[in-house]
Order: sequence, then C-alpha cells, then structure tokens
Amino acid sequence: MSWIREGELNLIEKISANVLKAGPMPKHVAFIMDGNRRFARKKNMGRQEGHMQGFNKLAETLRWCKHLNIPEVTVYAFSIENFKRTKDEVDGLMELAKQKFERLLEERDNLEKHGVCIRVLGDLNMLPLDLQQVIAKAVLTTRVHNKCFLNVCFSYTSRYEITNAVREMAWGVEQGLIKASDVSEPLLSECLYSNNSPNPDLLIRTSGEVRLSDFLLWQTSHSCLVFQSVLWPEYSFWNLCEAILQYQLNHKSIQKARDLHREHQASLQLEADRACVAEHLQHHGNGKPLDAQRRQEALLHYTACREERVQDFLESLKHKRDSYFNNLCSEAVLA
Amino acid sequence: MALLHGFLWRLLLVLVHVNRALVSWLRVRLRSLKGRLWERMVAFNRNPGANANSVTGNCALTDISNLVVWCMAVGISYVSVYDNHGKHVAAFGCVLAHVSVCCLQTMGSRASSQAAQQLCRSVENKERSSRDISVTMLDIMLRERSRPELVVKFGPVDSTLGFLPWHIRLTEFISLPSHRNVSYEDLFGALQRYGACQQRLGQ
Repeated sequence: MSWIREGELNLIEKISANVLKAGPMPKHVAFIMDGNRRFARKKNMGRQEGHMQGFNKLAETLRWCKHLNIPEVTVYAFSIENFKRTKDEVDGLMELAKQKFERLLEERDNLEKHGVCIRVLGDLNMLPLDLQQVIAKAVLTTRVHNKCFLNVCFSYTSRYEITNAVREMAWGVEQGLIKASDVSEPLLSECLYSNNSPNPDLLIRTSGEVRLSDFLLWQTSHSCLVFQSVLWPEYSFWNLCEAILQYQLNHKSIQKARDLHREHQASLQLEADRACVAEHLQHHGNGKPLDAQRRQEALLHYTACREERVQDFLESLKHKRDSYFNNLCSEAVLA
Repeated sequence: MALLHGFLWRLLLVLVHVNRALVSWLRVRLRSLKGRLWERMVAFNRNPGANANSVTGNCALTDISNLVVWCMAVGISYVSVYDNHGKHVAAFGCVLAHVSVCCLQTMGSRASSQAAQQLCRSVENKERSSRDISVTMLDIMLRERSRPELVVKFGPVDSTLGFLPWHIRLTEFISLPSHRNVSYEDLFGALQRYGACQQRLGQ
C-alpha cells in the first residue's frame, strides 16, 4: 500500500475543512499512533495485520493533513522500549518498516511531485543494517523536497534524543568548537534530532491512553495535547477535525505562554552572557572598573562571538549527521 | 466565501463555549447523571491541568492546601505544585510532616539544560569524555525530583506549559476543569481514573 493517497475530500469534509481553516491552523502536528494491537484483537486479526492497517491509516491521515494545509507531521512509529516485545513481533515490525521504506523509494517520482521530505529520527544504529541503509536512501532521496515534511520517529525515545543532544554538545566542547558556558536550552533544542522542524503545535494520542510515553517531551512543552479514545486504525477525518478544534480553542493561551517562555529564555541568555563578560574582565582586565559604555561594548562583542561559535558548531554537527547517511548509502551501493 | 467560512467558524466556537458552560452547570447539579450523551459532552470538555497538581491562571491557596491534605489522607507522599507564571505559587512554600511539597515556579527544561552544562564543564575540565554521557547518567542527575506518576491538571489550557519534560515520560495526565472550589470527590475521581490506567512500558 502506498504512502501517498490521491483523492479529494468529499463535499461535507471540504466544507468542514474550509470552516476550520478560517481559524488558526497548526503548522506541525505530531501523532502517537496507538491502538493497532487492540484493533487487531477487536477484529480477530493477527498483530501484523493490525500494524498494516495502522500504516494505511497513516497514509490516509497524511492526505487529510495535505487538504487541511498542515505542512508538517511527526509520527511515533517505533519506540526503543518496543524492542522489549517478542522477537517475532519486533522482526515483523522491522520487516514491515523495510518494505514500506523500499516502497517509498519506488514512489520517488510521486514524492517529488508532491514535494514530500521524509526524515527519520531516532537512534538508528540500533536497527538492522539493511533497514538503516534503506532509511538512509529514503532520507537522502527526499532531502531537497520542501512542500511538506514527514518525520518518522523510529527506534526513538525522547530521553535518548535529549541525551544524544547533550553528548553532541559535549563533543563540541571536546573539539574546542564551543565552551561549556555556551550550553543553554535553545542550544540543546538545536542539537535534537528534530532540529530542522519547528516544535509541534498539536500532539494527538489515540486509543485512550493519557501519557506521552517518552515522545517529543522537550519539543511539546508548549504544544496543545489532545488525547482521543479512538483506536488508531479507526481514526477518522472527524477525529482530526475535533483535535484541530481543541487546538484552536487553546491557541491564544498557549501562544501567550510560549511568548512568556521565549522572553524568559532570552533574559536568561543575557544574564549568562553578562556573567561571562564580568568573569572575563575580572581575569583579563587591568583592575580598573569599566564604564557602562565599555561594559556594553564588551557584552555585544561577547554575544556576537558566542553566536558565531555556536553557528560553526551547528554546521559541524549537520555535516557529521549528513556523513552518517551518506556513508550508509555508499556502503549499500558497494554491497 | 471566505467571509461565510469565517462566520461559520465563529459560530462553531460559540457552540463549543455554550456546550462547555452547559456541561459545567450540569456537572454541579447532576453529579450522578450517566449516559452516553453526557459522556460525549464531558469528553469534549476535557481540559488540561499532576500529582503534580498543575495550575494555570489565578491560584486560590485554600484550594491547593485542601488538595495537598487530601493527597496526604490517601497516602500520596510527594506532591508538586506547578504554575507556569510562577508568581502565585511563590507564596506556598511549606513542608508538612510526612508530605514533601515542592513548589515549582520555573522548573521546566531549565533543570535539564543545567545538568547538560554541568556535564559539558566536566568534559571541558577533562574529567570525562563525551562518550561517557548516557541516559542513566542524566537520569541520576535529574532524579532529585522524583518522577510524578500522575499530573492532575487544572485550568482551560490543554498543555503541560513546560512542566518537567524529562520526568513526565510515563506520567498519566488527568484534567479537572478548575482548582476553584475543587471537592474531594473531584480529586478521588481523578485518582480512580489513574487506577484504571494500564502501562505496557513499550511491550
């Protein structure tokens, strides 16, 4: 079954979509697609069939998002915790994923037509090598597309992602690219696997569970959370509209909270820069206190240097990550 | 056409607010009312608000005190109160016997970035390598606050608003409309719903 579903909305769906689009719309929606196995039990089918239905529902949901002008979607496809499942189920899921990514490569012309960029986020080195290679190919093939974005979290947990970001910053310090004093919340965000995306506006979890299960914990701190009881393979266009409506009802309050948080972070950064400048002047100054203007100049200079350092570090990090995918692809070609 | 859609959208919001007001009014008067129609109306009104009791908006200290005492009464030994504005909860610092009450004014992702900075400093001082940094290490550093198993969220905003991102990976979220004049039955109802949650932990 294909990743891209063609087809327009029916008349009622179209009217409802247009009404919703008159209000603020989320630019990035994240889904915890929960309930495949419970759906399979309910319909007396095997688990593998349940997961297949789950994938079909994903493709359909992407079609609805396209019609609702939602350009970015992130989905939780496979958690690192899911490796604890039986070997049969895990092998089945790895095989399903391999088939789907191979199918994706067959549809590359269609993906180019629709401008779909696929990213896969997670600790991919935990996956079988052949799956890593197919994923690398899919990511590199669609990398320049920029009309809509699908982020698949595979072999992912938020804590592993945050830890990886901290490790990368520590690597930056080791390489002399940044200083420990440059470490901040915004810099950590820039080192996450999801650094190419804005934070999700809306997070939807299906099947009635009301927890985040280690998914995008950092990125959804100021997102609208909607928990819906429907099982994922039974998700409908109307469920999606209901979630978007919740987002619209919360939009103003959450926007205010986000702005407050951003202002707070900016003032923390300014405070940190001031402290660094003061320390530097203490160690390298000639003992005489500087006047306000000189202090301000020193602060501006320090901030500019820090920002340049951080940019260079982020470029190196991007290069490191691109190399990982390029190496996998060239290994695949040679094999 | 755009004007018509805009009008219909506003009408939709009005209907939702009327629904919410009606449910609020009926909830008080007809606590025992069951039935599918009621369940549908209430489900749509689920608003966010832990044992972290997460408060958004104006805070009534009496209500929070009541909640803390009720938690004590049912054996909950660790209660955190979070307010993303920070100003209201500031007045509520107290430690009761057998109950540790933690007031979190700005406890959000800052704890994680401070731990990150600490680790990077030790790398800068050549005390460790970047390769030594693991999930377990960060978990231990951030464990000074224990992981909340339940967040009871009060208020009309469907968001965690920055509450302890690292710690809430397995936390169940249950929403109550408001902390104002919250009753013991409201809290107990939330605890019963928590009791019905089944965690599969990835399996």
